[in-house]
Amino acid sequence: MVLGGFAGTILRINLKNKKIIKEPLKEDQARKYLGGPGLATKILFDELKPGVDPLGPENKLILTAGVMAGTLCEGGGSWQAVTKSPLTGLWAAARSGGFFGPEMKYAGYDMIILEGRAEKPCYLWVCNDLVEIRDAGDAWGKPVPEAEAIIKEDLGEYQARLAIVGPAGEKLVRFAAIMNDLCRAAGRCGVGAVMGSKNVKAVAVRGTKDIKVNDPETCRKALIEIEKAVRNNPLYALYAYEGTPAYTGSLNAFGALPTWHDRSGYFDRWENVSVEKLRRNYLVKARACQACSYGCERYSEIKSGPYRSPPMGGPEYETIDLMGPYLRIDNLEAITRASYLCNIYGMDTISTGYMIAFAVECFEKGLITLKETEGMRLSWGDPEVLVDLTEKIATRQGIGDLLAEGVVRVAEKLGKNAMDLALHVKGLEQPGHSPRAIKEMALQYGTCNRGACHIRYHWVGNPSMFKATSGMEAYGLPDPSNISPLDESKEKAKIVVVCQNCGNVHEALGTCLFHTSSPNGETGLTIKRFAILLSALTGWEINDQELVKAGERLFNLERAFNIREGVRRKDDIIAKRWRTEKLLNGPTEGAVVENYERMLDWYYELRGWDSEGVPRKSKLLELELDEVATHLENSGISLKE
Amino acid sequence: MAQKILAVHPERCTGCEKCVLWCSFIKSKVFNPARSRIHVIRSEPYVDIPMICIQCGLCMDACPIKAMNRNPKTNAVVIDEEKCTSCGRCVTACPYGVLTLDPVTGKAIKCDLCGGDPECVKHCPKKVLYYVEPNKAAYLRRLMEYGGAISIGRKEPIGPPERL
Repeated sequence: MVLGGFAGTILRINLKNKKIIKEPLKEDQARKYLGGPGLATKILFDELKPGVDPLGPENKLILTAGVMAGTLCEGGGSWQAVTKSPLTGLWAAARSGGFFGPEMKYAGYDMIILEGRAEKPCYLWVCNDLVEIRDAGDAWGKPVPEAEAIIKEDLGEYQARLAIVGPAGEKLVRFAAIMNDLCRAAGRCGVGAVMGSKNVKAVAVRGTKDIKVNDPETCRKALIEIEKAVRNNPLYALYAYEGTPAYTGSLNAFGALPTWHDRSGYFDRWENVSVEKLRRNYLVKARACQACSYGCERYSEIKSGPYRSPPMGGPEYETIDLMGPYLRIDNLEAITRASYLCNIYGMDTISTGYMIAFAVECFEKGLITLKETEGMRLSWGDPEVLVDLTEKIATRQGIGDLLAEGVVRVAEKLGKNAMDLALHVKGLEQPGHSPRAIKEMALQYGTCNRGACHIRYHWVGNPSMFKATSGMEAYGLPDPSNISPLDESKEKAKIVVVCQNCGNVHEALGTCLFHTSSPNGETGLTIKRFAILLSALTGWEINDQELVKAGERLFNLERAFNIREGVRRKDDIIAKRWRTEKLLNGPTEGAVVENYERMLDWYYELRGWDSEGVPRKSKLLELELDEVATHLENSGISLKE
Repeated sequence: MAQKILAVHPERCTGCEKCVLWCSFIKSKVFNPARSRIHVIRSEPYVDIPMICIQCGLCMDACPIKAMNRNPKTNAVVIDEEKCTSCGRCVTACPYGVLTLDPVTGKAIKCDLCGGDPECVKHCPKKVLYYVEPNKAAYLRRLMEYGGAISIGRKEPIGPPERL
């Protein structure tokens, strides 16, 4: 039997002593944790001691692609960076698209584990069996596009695909991203800072090996069915013709577009940042990640004016919101310019936009003064502030040096009541979905293992707002048609649990979530279709229930990692503003998360966790996480039965 | 009726490489772009172009052992893998770089139009590739040059935005 789908080898590179080890992928482990990203979490749990410094040499950075990456499965261009986050100090995984993940698998590796720290700035060259640690030379310190050109020139291999950090990653900006294909970013949680801390500028890969298929005929049929389903998905038109910026209008109409540092869910000048405006004036091309029918990536160009920026991917919806309405800015040119700067410096646009909004509010409240800003007035709706601060954060100049530390560290440093203004969970800044307008989003922010995140694991904003089920009824998702987004019922806890379990399946298998969201179960990439394709690729007989179970297992494993780092109920509580202040205007005016603690109780109960949020022993055993349970008990954490 | 040809509208290409992967999957039963008979150039700032074999036959003339023949039904130049000695002269002759040596078997590989039903065309999500009679291809090209994004067999516009 051929174990298809997987590349079959794990590459381990110790940067300190330059030791390179190739380990075979264990099939039973791959099946238990659904391959790449899931297995990376297990490796991190096993090999990282609790409390290690995320930016120290003891931390490990794992670049990994799932079993579907590099195959024809829709959205199979995905790869993930799994590590301990310098922003949250907890488990983190950041997903990116493009072509890097597939190329890594064509080179023969399911994951590349980076250990230790290199003495001098270097980059890695992985070409089939050849693995080299090379001097970064002139590439160090350069913005992403320039550095990528220098490295490709140095290698003489223009077909190489690079995962690369920009100056922000080198300067350890705590929300730096790892970029690939110039404008695809593994953005959240500061994975770029981890790579920078290891003195690694880039990982360049090139491969000409096969990804084998166990049963080609069944695989072909499954792929055709998936392709058909994806193209019949009602969301196809949205992603193919408009891309994610289309959400600006729809979320605003709903009153769920975080505006003015999330004081409101509605932006009155939204038309100036709408997808129509972007498309008519600045869009130059739509591009796709590997094996994707949608092609949602938007290339924009500002040809002239103060915010001139060359053609580059973006801005995406999250960028537009966090750098636009969130700051009360309606200048799309400035937003595009800031997005461009984030791309070339390698930074997360969500956290960057958030930090600027936080700075403006602190300035307004007198917590930051003109002395700290070197005479710059920070005010709402000023595009100059956005572009200027983005550049300052990336290069850590002036006030940027402070803001680059992430919201929690900045708030601690500013003292007084700054922490009350910080909208984050576990240290990760808020993305562009209002938790007060969509209550399951509040619970998702609170319980997601990497902090306030809207996207891991499923599009949790979907079910009650868009009345979409994405085929998850079979795994316990309540019928959303009668549930209002503003409800704070037990159903909401159920929605979050099911979405997180199901969402972990496609994250671990290595596909994009845009194909899995769909208004009904008949279209798009459902868990059932995943199961058929996975069985055909690998030769395992695996069904959808087993996949969802594995998704739950992974979620609990991630939680166990965080529990070991000290996460308890107190860390699952969302920011004060969301629980106490009412939304100002728009359709959701007056909304506030009132019963958050009760929803959290229901959530813990459904998860099989105790009242402190620690998984019960029976739950861990049910999920075959015996060794994890033993490990936790040995580290002095008492598990309830 | 004139023989159909494979043609492209590169303006619409998003660079998803579905054609590349389907080609390697159908021909070699694996996923490996290096074993594909079609290639996509991805270049910055935003260039995506599928490179196809136009069946010109220069490789056929270059082959020292006459291991290539034209299929009378499809007009495609087809390699006899049994005879191929992996000398690589056909690769040198190909002006488009779409004829390569398979990294696994070492034999020359090139597009054979899948016997008259090209897989790449069937799976292209943006209708970049099409397999039609020459005059129909010329007509579509004129439309493309004139009116930007048009659709073939679909009602809604596909691919590039209205401005292109």
